[in-house]
Amino acid sequence: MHISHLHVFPQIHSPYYFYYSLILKIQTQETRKNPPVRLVRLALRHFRNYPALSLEPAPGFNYLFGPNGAGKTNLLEAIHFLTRLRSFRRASRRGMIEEGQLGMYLRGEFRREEGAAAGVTLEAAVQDHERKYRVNGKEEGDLLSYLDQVHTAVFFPESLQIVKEGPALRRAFFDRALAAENPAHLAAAREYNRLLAERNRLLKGGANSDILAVWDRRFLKSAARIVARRQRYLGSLRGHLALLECSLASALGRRIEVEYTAEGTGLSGETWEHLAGGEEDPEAAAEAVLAQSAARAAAEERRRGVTQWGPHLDDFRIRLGTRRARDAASQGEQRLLTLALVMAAAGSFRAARGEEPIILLDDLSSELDERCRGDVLGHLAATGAQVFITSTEAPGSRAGGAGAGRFHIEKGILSAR
Amino acid sequence: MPLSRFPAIEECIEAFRRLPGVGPKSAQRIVFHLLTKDPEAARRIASACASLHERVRLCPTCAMLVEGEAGGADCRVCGDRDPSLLCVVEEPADVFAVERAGGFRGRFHVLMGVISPLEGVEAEDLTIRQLAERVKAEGVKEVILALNPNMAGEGTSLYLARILKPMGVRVTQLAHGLPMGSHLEYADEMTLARSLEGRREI
Ligand SMILES: Nc1ncnc2c1ncn2[C@@H]1O[C@H](COP(=O)(O)OP(=O)(O)OP(=O)(O)O)[C@@H](O)[C@H]1O
Ligand SMILES: [Mg+2]
Ligand SMILES: [Zn+2]
Repeated sequence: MHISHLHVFPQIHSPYYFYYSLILKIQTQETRKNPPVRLVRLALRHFRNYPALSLEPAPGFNYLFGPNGAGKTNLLEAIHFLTRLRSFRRASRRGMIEEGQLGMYLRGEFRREEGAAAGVTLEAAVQDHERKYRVNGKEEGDLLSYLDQVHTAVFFPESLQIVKEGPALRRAFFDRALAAENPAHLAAAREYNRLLAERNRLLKGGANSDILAVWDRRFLKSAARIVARRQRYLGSLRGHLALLECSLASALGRRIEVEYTAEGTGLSGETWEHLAGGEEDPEAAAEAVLAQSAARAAAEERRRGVTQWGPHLDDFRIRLGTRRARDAASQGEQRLLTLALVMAAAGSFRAARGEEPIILLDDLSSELDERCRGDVLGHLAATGAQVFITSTEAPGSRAGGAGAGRFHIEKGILSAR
Repeated sequence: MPLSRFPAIEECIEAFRRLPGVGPKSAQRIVFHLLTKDPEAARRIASACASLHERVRLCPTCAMLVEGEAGGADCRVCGDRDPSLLCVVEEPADVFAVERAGGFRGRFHVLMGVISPLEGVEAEDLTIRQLAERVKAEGVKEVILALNPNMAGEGTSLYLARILKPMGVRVTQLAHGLPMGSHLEYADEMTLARSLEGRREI
């Protein structure tokens, strides 16, 4: 495996040179101090096309290969469900239960240190409408605390929609990544959604002006909290994207830019930074900017009875070089860009939480040429993360290094190769 | 044999199941207990429930529960109490909670709920107009908002502060000793007493 290009710094004359080299240094030190979390044993019962499965993956790269319909994606989905309690495909919990069965059971043992006994065991059992989630054998009623045990980052063919499709999927992607780093964001988002619904109801129903004034103020504060969090998160993500530009330099060759835009009010990222510039407190800054949006929208909102601004309408504009990726980037470039976003989010997670998430890559090889693939895998190898990769082709004999796991899957039956 | 063959039992289970804190399993246990182990209890419960609404009323002034002859004079928390301090709570049960915490000498006002746009509860559905009238008429100096620490309680508190402050009273709120999402009714006495003492201007 070639990982040498990770250490190719940007041109010395680049103004970012110093910044890049500094982050890389910090990044590698951190990786050594905080080993990534690893799945060491997985057991499934009645999950999709697996009546029963047990798997002992390698600590680094794991290749899952076999023909179409073998169950490769299903296996990634199982790891994702066990750790995130939802599928990455649009699938209901019931859809994941093996056909003809009433329930499914998943169990995973995770370790944080090589060879150490300490770790965490997650179990998820679903039967009819009943669900049981256990952490280290004890039932966990608090889903947030279950979800905070082990994190996974996933890339699958439909992830491309983050770059290609409308803003809703982008918001979902960034908000999820943010919430993984900072679980308080989930509560803040829930609060925001409720205030939004309440405010819309009040706007429609012609509530008394005192109530509306109080709810306007609460909505503004809540919106500012979300926007400030997203902006701060983008700041961290940009640093990691810059790092990836080095790793993916041979494939991309251009800068990746992500800019926050307030679609409802026509504020672009630069306007934000200009308006909010110099403020110490990002929430207060966002609040000041949003208050102007609110004032501008007020008349229209009263007429239409619906909120016209706020983070539920905002977007993250993704650019490759100078052009908007969704319009101008090629299919392969869009894939690579999406991968870059997923890996940058993983990097940001590591910086915030001190551990690399488990990486799931479905069907990496389609539409990516060999050089791009090499760049991506090189980057991941350098982070030390545990990686699961599916492919219809058997991996080359030296792929993933000496300790890599190689598993052949056919009709729901797995054999180590 | 399905329960649907026993409509009387089923109806009774359904009635219990709708009560707060009672699930389908305990509803069934209660009904079978009344049926086979303690028929006398069934009669006692029925008669106590039937006369409940005749024997207990809401005080027309503060909306607290009153027993005996109806009227403001019988209301314990409206009577012989410091009129300059008025503590606003959501439900009658919260009055008992504050009383249990001890140390409060003022009067109470029960809102009978909180503002909740999604459930269609507006200011007019609560006893807010009566509250404003009392603040004017009773020489109130400080209104203490002791609503539950959750989003609905927070919104209602901010609304009350907005309409009461211009009337020239101090409006305070319980200190943040109670965890978000908790319930006044179940707060322990020490915590509640402390957050009442440490109340702050809103
Ligand atoms: N609930 C279920 N019960 C049983 N089998 C299922 C269930 N859901 C999906 N399957 C089957 O699982 C099989 C494997 O699906 P999967 O998506 O994992 O294939 P794959 O190995 O990723 O194939 P490809 O290379 O085409 O992506 C499919 O044939 C599908 O019919
Ligand atoms: Mg697949
Ligand atoms: Zn009274």
